[in-house]
Amino acid sequence: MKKGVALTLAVWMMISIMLTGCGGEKVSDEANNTSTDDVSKEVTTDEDGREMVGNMYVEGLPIVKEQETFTIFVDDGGRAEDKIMYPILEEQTNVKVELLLYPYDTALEKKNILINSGEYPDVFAGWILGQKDILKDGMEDGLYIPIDGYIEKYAPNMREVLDIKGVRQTMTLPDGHIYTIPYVIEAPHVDFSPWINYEWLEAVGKDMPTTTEEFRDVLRAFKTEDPNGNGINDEIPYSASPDNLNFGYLAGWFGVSAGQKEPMGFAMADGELVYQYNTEGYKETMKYLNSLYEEGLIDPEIFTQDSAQWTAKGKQDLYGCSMAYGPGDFVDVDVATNRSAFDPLPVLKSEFVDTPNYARSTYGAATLKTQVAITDRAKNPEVIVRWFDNVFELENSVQIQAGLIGKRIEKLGEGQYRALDETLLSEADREKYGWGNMFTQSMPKFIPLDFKVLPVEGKELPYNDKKTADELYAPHLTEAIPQAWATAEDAKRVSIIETDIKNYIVKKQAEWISGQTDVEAEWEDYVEQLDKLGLQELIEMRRRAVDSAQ
Amino acid sequence: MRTLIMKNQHKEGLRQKSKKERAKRSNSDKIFDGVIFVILTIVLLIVAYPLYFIIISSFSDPAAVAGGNVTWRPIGFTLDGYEAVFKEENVMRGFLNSIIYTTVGVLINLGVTIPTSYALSREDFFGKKAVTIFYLITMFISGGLMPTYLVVQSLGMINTMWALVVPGALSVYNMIVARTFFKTNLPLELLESAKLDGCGNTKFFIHIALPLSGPIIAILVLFYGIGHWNSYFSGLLYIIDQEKFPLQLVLRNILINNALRQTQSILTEEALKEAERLRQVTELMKYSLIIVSSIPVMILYPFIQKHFVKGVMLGSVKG
Repeated sequence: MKKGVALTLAVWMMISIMLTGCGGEKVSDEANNTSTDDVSKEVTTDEDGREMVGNMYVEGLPIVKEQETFTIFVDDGGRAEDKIMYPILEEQTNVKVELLLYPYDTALEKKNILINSGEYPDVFAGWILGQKDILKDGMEDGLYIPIDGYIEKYAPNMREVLDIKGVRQTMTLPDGHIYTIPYVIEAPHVDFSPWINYEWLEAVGKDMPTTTEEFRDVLRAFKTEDPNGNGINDEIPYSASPDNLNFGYLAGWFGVSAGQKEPMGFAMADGELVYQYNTEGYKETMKYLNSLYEEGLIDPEIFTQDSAQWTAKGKQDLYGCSMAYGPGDFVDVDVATNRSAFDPLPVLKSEFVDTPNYARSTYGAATLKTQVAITDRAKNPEVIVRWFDNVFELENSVQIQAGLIGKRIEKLGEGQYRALDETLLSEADREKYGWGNMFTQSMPKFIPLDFKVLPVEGKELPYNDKKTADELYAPHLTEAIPQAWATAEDAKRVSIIETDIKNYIVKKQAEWISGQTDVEAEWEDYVEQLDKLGLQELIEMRRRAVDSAQ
Repeated sequence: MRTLIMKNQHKEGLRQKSKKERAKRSNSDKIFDGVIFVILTIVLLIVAYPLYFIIISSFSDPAAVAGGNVTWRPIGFTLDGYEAVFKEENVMRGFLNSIIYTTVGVLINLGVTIPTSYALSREDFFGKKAVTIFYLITMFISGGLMPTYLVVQSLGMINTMWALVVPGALSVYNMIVARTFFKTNLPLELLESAKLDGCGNTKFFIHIALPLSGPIIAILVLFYGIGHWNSYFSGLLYIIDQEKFPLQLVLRNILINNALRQTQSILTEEALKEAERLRQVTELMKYSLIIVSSIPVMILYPFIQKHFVKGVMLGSVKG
């Protein structure tokens, strides 16, 4: 009997060792199989006199002589066959793209499995890639290949993008190579800001608040004077989506705004990176918000609701003021005027500081660093680089962004496009040619920052809320933090410390604002705890990265 | 008192009870029964309300559900959710896929489990103990995710139905349940007398053992069937083409469909609109999807439920 047990155990262990052993070897074999340095392949000419490298034309369309295929793995909720730009691009380039689309969470799990199993696609793309992936899997392990050589040689459109101020530095890793395809988009100076209900302001007969105390006064009036006129005391003076509470931005009213973006609590002051969430101004912010909460002026559900509940209440006209990217996130916007009942709340002055500020998100353009990386499995990386370079052609990018020519936009002349009235399309077509169906939108395209698709004739939108907010906030905006790569060894530490600190800050914000614990009493402990979690080390590492990017 | 409770549990005993006997019950018995009744009612409500909530929510305006207005009856009655579910091609295709996977999967499961457990139930099976121990080990120690994946990969099953139905063809737990059933219901004497009449092992298994094991087959169908129907992870792992996704994976993808993530720091107007549209679709379909996907199991259950007491209980009590 005992013999039997031993025997079965032995057999079972042998089998399991064999299995894992084989798998491991296979993976490392393929990982070593990098083909990064064949940028200098021999140039030949074909019968038409076009220059070729292997099967690929050096410039112009189509990109390849014999049809080639490559695979892109990207997070996207749609279906590959619905993406209408790919057949068009295939016709132009003679390159077929096989899309593997999974929603974000599924894609993340699947990506790890594929990488570990050694059978991964030619390209990983979308939000599933992070800085850590490129640094660790790319620069260190060679899973992703450097592509700067290919860009220099074959990709004129990408070179143009890289020449935009600051982009090349942002894209270049500490080892001096570029591993990802650049993606630069227009972005507002202010991303999240509080929006205030001006119809309610009129209803309670108050002016737009300019100081924190006036703001308190207005919120009180919202609470008590039934501005939505339904006879029930159901008004919620201030609320926010749980995903984007962004209390850090409001600290600008008290002179220390560091926004709420990652890394949390950092800001630029006179060209130097500083930390703000352990300052007096931040403490004042928490005290102020707590006093609003105690008075019942902040939604008691603010820390517990989900974004659907937040939106649902907004659409029932219950909010006086809310933090959002734009009012369209939580209320209906009038289609004809593009206007809702909400205006950006000005940057408020407080007793604590004379010159309030507000965290700047961008200088009008944002570089997304990690949207596309080519793996070492790709047989012809130069073809892939050229395929994306072709996507960067204005006409392709405009169609990806604004819709197919002849369906949603029309071409007026070279480089000039105008939107078509979408009511001309049938309901089914409107969906078929909709934004989400044109291309996998988390992947790069390139639209020059000064380029605009003209609006439908006679339908200039009279109001642009993000622009209004940008202009209103302009005098108060802080410096933006340069986007930088931490060095590979720092990156791991940075992400661990950042996660700890972020969790701690978010927890403390909720406790203090809702009055579970007292800011004043806990402040010294809090500052100490931040240091214990590695704040000083984080500041050090972040500074190194920012300095190297400048 | 104790005997009385036991009697109460016995349906037939209860029915035969005369009025006289019932009158004999003391006040404390009545209070006891009353308390039990109240507790059970509360438990029932706690268990049943979430189900009821899902049902009424599936008929309600999503905004009202999100706003917390729906409690006892549908508000803003609508069938839009169901319309959206049935319009979604993926859902219907997933439904069909899941039915195929479940059917094929269960057939394979039965084909493997029943002979195995029958063989292991036979006292005269050589090496029975060693084999059983081998099986038992796999219950406690598994190869882990990656090794399993690599095996499936090297067998060339990636992106095929086989990856979903072949690994895990035999659940050791179910095999033990079935083995206990065979042990208790097919006494050795039965085999001996059959052998006297000239019946061999195979013939005995097919003509005598199988017809006698209706209850356990029904139980296995239910256990394995629900397992296949509800599984999404193996689909997530092994299936690449969206056309081959099982229903649960399609549902999961719809419910977590946040490809354009609101929390990303860079947002564009279009991305936000698209995210909002996806969110609304999700809200609309959330509850009706749950209902639609549970229907097959609900249909299957009543047919099998009657075997439950006979099969599983009998096996476990005497095992």
